[in-house]
Amino acid sequence: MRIKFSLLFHAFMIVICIIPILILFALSFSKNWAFPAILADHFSPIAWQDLFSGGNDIRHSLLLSLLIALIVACTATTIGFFISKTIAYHNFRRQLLFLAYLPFVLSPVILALCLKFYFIKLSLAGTVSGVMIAQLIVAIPYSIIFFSGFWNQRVKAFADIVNTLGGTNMLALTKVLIPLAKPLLLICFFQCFLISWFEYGLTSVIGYGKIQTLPIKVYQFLIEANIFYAALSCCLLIMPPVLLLWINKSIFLKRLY
Amino acid sequence: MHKIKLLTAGLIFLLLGCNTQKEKSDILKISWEEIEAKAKGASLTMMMFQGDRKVNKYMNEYVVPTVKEKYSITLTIVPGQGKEIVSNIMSEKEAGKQKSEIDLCWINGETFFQLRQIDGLYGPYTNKLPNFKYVDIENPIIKYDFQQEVKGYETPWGQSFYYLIYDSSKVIVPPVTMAQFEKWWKANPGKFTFSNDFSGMTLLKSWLVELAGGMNTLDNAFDEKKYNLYAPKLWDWINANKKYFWKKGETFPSSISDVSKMYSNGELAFTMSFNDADIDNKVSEGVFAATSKAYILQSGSIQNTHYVGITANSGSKEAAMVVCNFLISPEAQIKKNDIRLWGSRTVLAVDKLEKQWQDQFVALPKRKYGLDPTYIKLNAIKELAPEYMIKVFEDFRKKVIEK
Amino acid sequence: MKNNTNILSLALLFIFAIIPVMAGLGYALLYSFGVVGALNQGFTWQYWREAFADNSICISFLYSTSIAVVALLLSVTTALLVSLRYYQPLKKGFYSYLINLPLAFPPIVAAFFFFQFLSKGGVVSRVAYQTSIIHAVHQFPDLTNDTYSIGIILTHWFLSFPFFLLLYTGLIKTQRLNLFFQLAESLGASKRQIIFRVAIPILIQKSLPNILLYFIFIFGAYEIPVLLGRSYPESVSVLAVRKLQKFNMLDIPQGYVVTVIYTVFVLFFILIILKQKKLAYAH
Repeated sequence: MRIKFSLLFHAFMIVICIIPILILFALSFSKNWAFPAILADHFSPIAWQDLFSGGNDIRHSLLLSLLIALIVACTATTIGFFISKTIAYHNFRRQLLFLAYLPFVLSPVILALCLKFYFIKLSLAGTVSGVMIAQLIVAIPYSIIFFSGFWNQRVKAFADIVNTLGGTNMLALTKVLIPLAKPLLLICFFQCFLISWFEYGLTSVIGYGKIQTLPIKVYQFLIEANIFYAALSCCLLIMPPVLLLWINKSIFLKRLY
Repeated sequence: MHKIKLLTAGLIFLLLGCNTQKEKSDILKISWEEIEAKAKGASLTMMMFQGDRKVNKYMNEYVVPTVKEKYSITLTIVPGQGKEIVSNIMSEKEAGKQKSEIDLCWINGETFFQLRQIDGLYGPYTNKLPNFKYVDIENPIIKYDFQQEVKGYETPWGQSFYYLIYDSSKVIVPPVTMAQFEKWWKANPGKFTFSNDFSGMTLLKSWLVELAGGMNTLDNAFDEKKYNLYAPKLWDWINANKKYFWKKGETFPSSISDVSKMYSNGELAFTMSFNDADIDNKVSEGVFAATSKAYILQSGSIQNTHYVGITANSGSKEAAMVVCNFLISPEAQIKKNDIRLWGSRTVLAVDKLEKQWQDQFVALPKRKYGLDPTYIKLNAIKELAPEYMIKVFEDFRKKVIEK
Repeated sequence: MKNNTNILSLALLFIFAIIPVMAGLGYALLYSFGVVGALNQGFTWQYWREAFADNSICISFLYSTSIAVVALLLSVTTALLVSLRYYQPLKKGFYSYLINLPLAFPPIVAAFFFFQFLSKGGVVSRVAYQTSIIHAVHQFPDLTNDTYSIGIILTHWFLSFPFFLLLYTGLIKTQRLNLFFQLAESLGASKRQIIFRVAIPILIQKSLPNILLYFIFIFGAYEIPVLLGRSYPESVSVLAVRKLQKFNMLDIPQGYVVTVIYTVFVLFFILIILKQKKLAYAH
């Protein structure tokens, strides 16, 4: 009985963890996948070759997504770190934190439709910087919430010691706070990267469909019923997180703090 | 009814509130050469329906590089259809934005109607286009977009007609009247559906025409009395029969590409198309069974024209006009007509063209599966006024989907 | 210096978090009352009345709620059972990596995968056909765009189950529940008693804020219901987007009515969550 249960467990884990990735990769190499064949007529690396030989839409999206995600992650991590410090020692700590939660939890597409007017007004709609700002509205609150647990009395005491010993705030920051927070900063960076990397709702509405990041591309391929290119874009979307996973297996857990 | 009133009121409000476009006359005064010179180096965004791979290929692999090469215009294609175009342009108006993010849009029917209502289109400009003289503008299907006179506010781009596709290995005699459909559904439950988009709505409109007594009965402006007379019959009929539809009619696919996908899987026995060459393309790609056949309903085939509009706040109208002119050039229209590329029928009057172009049109590969153009012409139903589309969409949701 | 950074941080907080939400909510409110908008002509209750004239908004809220509740019940239950039963293999080694993989899926990819996997023309259906379980494509059960939203629920489960599994495995470790089990066992409690009387209540209590937060995410989800859902009923986000962006421009104010109700709903929910203690997380 015990063995059977374990077998079931192994099968279950493999089905939910490995099969999806295998199928997506198989589809990205497929051509002509008519019912009821389980595997496609033939497999060809054409889609992937196109990707690396240049002049290709998907490659453009890949680079654009990378650029946006890197900038958003850097900015959100830095700004969030400082804002969370201010909030942590602020008299209205609870209230400010409550307000910071909202943009992070609201449905991005609904938030975007409410903000579109302002983005158009500021000439930010349909631009890369507009999309980055829109994504920051989600990523910065995340980062604030993420760091809110870091600023406890112990950390404050460390920084205070530096100050009482005559050190400047800058010294406290570079010699105490940043080294203390370093692992968290890294995780927050990865998380913000993923928030931006996965973002669909804000990007599609604020970007007007002009800013074609990978998730937008996937959706477009789906409308076009072009499942093989959709699968290729999906593979590209899941690759960075899977790679990050090998670097640090605990990064994902922090997404829902 | 009060919605229509509100629309009109909104329109008046807008007209009063909107400043008139003064640059309009300026562009129309200068010569075409000057327009072309001004267009050089411009960047344009075109919003269009991107649900068809062939169409996307035609745009991305032919139009975009050619206008770049010929006119140094950088054209970016972005996805979005119908209401998305209207809602984007409307949001821009609300925000008081002077320069639109969208310069060109692929539109017709109710989108044209709504854009005209919010004064979102630039025009009249088509007479300025040198190639416009080749357009078969006296053809009522081109001159009137869903019964509305185009009046130079959009450039005719291609003609379409509506037809159904069935698999002759599964369907011996395809149903052409509502009574025959009912019979077929009852005998073959679960094998039929239509999409909750313009494609499916067109089928509903075709049945509405049949209920109203056939071809030409619903021509001219929207007739609310007629609509209120026939539409309830249509909904009753659909509701009575939808249990024989795919998934018992409890849901409808959101787009025609889903219907076609299920048709190619064998899940459905029918699909529909507005693209003349669809069946030829899909059969030759092996997506549709070789036993597929095209046909039209007894009441006829709804025909329409699709157009390209320039937004009223486009930042480079000159370049947009140059692109429009290119899209109706014999060269671009031949490519668009070619079933290997797009396969939609030309809006040009081929006999007005120079001999070399005429020959090229004649030399295009013939359709193997598609229907004979003369036969289609005889059975043409002019596209109904846009309000029918808006009403059918709305009532289909209220009276069928949400029931 | 210190004050300056504080002011700067607060300013940034307002610019990037507080003002956008307030401004967006304000705009939606004004639009829903006809105060702004190209087709509007001044304050009116009309759109709010119209929005409640039929119950489609209520149905959407109920529908989204039930999807979120069912998906979370499933993922929390399975995660509890698996983490308690298979704590050892999940704690370290191959599976501790493997279980992270679904978390690398953005919602749109997960929805795409489940469509290709579960639809009538999908992988499972093909396998069933090849193994003669079914003989025609229409015999395969409806698992996507289906009456019971099975596709949507499974996709949400796929994305949330690993999260809760990791959370619980982590909690068992940090709360030293395994030691606790040994203690309880040595005091003569049965394994069953320990799991149901001790472990599960502790884990649920510790993870309650996370569960509630996840509820809001599933409640507001867009990509998954739009790809795997039916034309009716629609989830809240799908309804709002349809009213705001699809087809009839006279529907826009009603779309903003939906938006306002949704935002207020989420606001209250966050208040409730923050009333709870600190969110749990595993190291």
